[in-house]
Amino acid sequence: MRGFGELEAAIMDVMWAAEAALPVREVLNRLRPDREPAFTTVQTVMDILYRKGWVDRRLEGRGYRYWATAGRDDYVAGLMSSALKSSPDRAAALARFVERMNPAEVEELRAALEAARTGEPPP
Amino acid sequence: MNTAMLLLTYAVVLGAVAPAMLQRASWVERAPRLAMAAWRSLTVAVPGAALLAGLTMVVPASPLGAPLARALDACVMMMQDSYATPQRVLIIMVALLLSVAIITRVAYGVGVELGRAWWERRRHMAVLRMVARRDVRLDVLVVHHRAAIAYCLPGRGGSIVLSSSALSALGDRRLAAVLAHERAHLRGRHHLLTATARGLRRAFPLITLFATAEREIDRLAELAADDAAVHASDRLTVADALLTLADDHVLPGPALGTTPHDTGQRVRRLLKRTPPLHPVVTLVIALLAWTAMAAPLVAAAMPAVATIGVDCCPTR
Repeated sequence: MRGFGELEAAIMDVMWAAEAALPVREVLNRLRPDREPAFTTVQTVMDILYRKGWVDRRLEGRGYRYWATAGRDDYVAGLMSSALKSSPDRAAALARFVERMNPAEVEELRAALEAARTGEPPP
Repeated sequence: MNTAMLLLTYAVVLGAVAPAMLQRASWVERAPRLAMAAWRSLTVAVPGAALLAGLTMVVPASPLGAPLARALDACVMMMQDSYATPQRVLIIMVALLLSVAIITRVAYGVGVELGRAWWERRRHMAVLRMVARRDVRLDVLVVHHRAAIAYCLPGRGGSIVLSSSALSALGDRRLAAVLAHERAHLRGRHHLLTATARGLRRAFPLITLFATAEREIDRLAELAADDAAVHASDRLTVADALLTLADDHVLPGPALGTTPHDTGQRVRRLLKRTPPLHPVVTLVIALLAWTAMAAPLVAAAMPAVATIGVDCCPTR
């Protein structure tokens, strides 16, 4: 998780916040406040992100300009829908705390919970 | 031959009788971890006994006895003898096929399931570490999303994941219960148990034992994690946390899981007091579970010992 991984996430934060395609120099500037990576490091990581499909780029003048291929919300939505989906595949990959229940049953059990609460002193 | 038939009978009877008994046993709800161990024993013992039945037929003196027997001429003669008639050869071929089939099916089924879960988790994690922020105090990953959801990604570099709305819906006490539940999953390596159960079901789709075991192990893993959460907080707080996250009216679509009644049962179980199992009962069940697994091995080793004692060292 350290090193490149962290920098990748930080760069994606910059890309998602950006209003237009950015050159590496500008990405570096926007990273500056909290970290001081070398220009070449950022360039390398941007290249990795490009090859992984997180960002796209076009040649402009003497360097590339980069932009995020999809918004952060799109990725989150994809993640959450795969986590929320009740399929055997998902169940094997990640363990969800609780499946969704139908509202009527939740109501009924809430009432039962309240009854149990009044029945015994609070811990 | 006799040992092989004994082992085969054991596999068939155990596979036919034990699942129904275990599924109906009332102690299961009181000791879910023990019940998980019992299911694991069954799913190992049944194919294990069938495999050993095949192997003991292929190698009459069993793998244990063979090297010893080879040292004695008499035994080599006996081994040759057992492969002599065409009938024998046929039986041995069938036994060999059975053994190879069991080994390859298990390797295929479990391999596919473990691999798929691993791959799925890896893909999930690759996206997650970009979009989530780490809450250092709670040691969880938080994703900004309006659906209240909590889950854990097991395995190396695994983590507990909470959505921002789950975090705000829960509050400190219930949050502690949720975290204890997920940590119990991670600590107990439940993902390996469930993936193996899934793999065995995939390997032998027609044998109901494995389908039942998969379902039960899934359910019991949740109960075991609930118990850990109760230990970290209290019964009613865990029930409250379950209801809070189950009652998610943000997302459209049917609120149906694969097993919709399980959650209700988890809550009901928490609402009533369930005394833990008596230590003696626990011990007896644990012993039985181990015996179920060990018995076929012992049975397979016995004739080897007998062969060495009787046939290879003839007293006449």
